[in-house]
Amino acid sequence: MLRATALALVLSVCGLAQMPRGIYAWWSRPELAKNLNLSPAQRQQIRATVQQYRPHLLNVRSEVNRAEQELAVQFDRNPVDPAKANEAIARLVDARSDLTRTLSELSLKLRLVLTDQQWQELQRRRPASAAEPPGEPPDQK
Amino acid sequence: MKHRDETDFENWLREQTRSLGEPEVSQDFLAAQRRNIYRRIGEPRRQLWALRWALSAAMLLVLAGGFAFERLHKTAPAISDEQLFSDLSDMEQRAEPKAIQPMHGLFEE
Repeated sequence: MLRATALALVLSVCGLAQMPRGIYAWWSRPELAKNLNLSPAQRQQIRATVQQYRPHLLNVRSEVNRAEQELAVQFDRNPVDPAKANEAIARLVDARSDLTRTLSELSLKLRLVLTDQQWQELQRRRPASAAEPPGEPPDQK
Repeated sequence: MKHRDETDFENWLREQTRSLGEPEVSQDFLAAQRRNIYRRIGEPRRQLWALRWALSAAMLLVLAGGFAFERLHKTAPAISDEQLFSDLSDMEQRAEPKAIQPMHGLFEE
């Protein structure tokens, strides 16, 4: 119980510390790419970087899902096996850590492709939620 | 019939070479060499059979490889960047595992 609570607290702190928070596929949104004035070379570089990370991201996604399911299975067991549950917690922490690391590295590589002006513009046009389509910047509404 | 042809050929060759001097290689050796050649001419062409089997096996391997490749690509459905990064973002922003969400009730007032 104590471990589960500690895990929740650690993950919450990690979640708040993420920068940038909630990556979304802005490069595949034509309107946004146009507004950023990306050059053909930049577009090519962005596409190549995303393609490079794609296979590992797919693996990480599967691994996090698998670890989540395994943890749920351990919590549902009767009686709960603390050793196995702790193993499942450790696996989930590792998978989520890998996810955060990979997304952050990808974000950094993409940031390095952008000029400072493009980066500022991208942040201004950031949707409130990653699932939402990007709207006009808040100051233009 | 074939045996008859070979005997005729041997007789004819002996007549033709009678006047010639003794070759450096003995007649016995040459005769044995020819017998060996005749024997091999009469043998079924094993190498061709082996080649046919090898070709069939290679074709089967190519077909099996093709099926395996197709299956592999079918089992990994394509996912758009939008969907993939939406999933990843949800995962990353989820503060805690689904399994421990029911525990929230313990801390709510």
